[in-house]
Amino acid sequence: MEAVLACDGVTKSYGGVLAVDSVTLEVPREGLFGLCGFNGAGKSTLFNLLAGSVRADTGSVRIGGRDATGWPAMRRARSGVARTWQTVRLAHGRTALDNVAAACLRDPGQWMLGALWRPQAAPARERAWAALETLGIAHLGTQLVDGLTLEAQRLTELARALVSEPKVLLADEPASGLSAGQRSVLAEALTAISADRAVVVVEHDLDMLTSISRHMWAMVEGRLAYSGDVETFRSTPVYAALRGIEHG
Amino acid sequence: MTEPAAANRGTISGPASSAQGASGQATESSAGPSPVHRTRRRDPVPLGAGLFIAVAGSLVLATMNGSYLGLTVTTGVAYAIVTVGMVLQLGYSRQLAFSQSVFMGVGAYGMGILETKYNFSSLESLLAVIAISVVAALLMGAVVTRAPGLALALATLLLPLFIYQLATYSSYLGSFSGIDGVPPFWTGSTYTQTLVQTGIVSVILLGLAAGIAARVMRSGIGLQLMAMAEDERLGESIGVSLRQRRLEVFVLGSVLAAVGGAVLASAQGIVTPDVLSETAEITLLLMVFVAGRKSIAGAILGAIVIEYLTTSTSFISTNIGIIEGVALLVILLVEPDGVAGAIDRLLGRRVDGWAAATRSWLTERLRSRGGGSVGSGAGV
Repeated sequence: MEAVLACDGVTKSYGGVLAVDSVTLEVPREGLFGLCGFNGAGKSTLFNLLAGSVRADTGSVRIGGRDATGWPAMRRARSGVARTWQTVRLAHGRTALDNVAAACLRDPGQWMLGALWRPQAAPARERAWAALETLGIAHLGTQLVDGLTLEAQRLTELARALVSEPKVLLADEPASGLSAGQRSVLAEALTAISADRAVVVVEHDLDMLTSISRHMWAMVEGRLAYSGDVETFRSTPVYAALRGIEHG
Repeated sequence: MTEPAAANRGTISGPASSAQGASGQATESSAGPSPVHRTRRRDPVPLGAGLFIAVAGSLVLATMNGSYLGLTVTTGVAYAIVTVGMVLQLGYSRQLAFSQSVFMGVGAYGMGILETKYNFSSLESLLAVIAISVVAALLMGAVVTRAPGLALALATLLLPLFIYQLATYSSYLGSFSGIDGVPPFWTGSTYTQTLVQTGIVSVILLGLAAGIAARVMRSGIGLQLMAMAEDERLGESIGVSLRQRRLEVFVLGSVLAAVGGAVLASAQGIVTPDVLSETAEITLLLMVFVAGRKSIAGAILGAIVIEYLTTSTSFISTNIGIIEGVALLVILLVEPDGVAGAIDRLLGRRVDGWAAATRSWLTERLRSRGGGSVGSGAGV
């Protein structure tokens, strides 16, 4: 099966420090895939490289088989790569509905003059309602995001990522700051979402990640230290080390 | 640490295992929204607001009957057209560019030159000014909007100084005296009638500007601008072309500034380099920030009120630089969202208070009947 998203030998360094070192991986079209590692292992940088927020020093990125190495983040997003952020990023002072609707214009590259005749906002808000309903937070749609709980904010961000019907979702520490119960709800949501698209999840909660992932990647010091199935991962030194950190 | 064979190569060769097991709560659905959530397709606000401004403004100016106050309001309307563009550019999109006074100058000098030197009619001059400002803004914007945030502000900061010097030394532009004898938009049989008619054309243009700005802000593109104003990386990640949107906002703001300048020249009958000065830029910033940088209505009122205050007493007009500088400083420190922001906050508190009281009352009622709580949202 052709990978929906792939990178080949991507490397990124900041001031001489290798954040990501020659990483090669392929993300299949469907399923949930876990990416774990210590703090500073390069997971978020790898996400940035895949999503186009950061350009790789060397290596290539392919989206749906096409070379996307030189594509800006905007073009990668329009090609089906959606993401959520380690720290929730929402437009403050606006409703959850508007935050989600911003990501689902039928014609995101419409010229401003065209907006005078075809504003696009109403159909976008309808799609946003559907996405919020899907995640069970439609009742919060008209609330300002500033007043939402962290879980609701993360679900709003998730709805924004999903509303454009992406081919692959990159979720960066989506469970960060959530309670055990909230993590369970999130895990169910992510699992359901991955039924018809690829979802790559960066997460420190190894129990949650290994329970929902069908494949694991682990990064150590910028390099991919493990790539394989979950059961084998549990018997690796990387897993033991990560659990050691997790349990203090 | 022993690394598995697959290290640094993350290819998955096995068959896709099923990823079910979900409760179905979060299943992606292509179904449309429920009827309850169907939103209004037609948005009457921009057209309604534009019409209201045009009609109400015309009536107000007609009652002023060509008085000095009427002329002051018309001049304020000219600035209001500029500040409406600034709300979109500075307030809504957070694009900090100090080029509004320069484009006001393009509009004002454009009208002056075309009408006095080349005998263009007012309408022809206005259309030409719009075309010139579009081209100028596209050329300038293509360069300066490549710079993000602070760099864009710095790139445009020196423009007013440079252009002001250019205007004062250019005999073609009338140097310090400027260009006199700019005809009004709509000449009447009497001076009073001319003032009223020119004022009416001005408020119609203001209504048009406000309608266009409101339409953009309330459109899908407005949603994109909101996201990129919050965080440009967030904007890009949802498919917003930053360069395209920055350029469009810059061009629209600049064109409205040029139209404001054209109205100013037509209302006052004279164009001087003062319209290009850095003081003019500070005045415009004050007009936007006093009432609220995110509010079109606030920007309009701010422009007219401040124009009135600056011309009403000799004390203010003499010490305008000090007063505007201090006022801007105080506003930015105390209430960056201006009067509109303060009102919003006050009303928000009251509405929040009422909502909390109502929710509490309803919850108590439901509890007494064996029901659940109200409004907190299940599990969220």
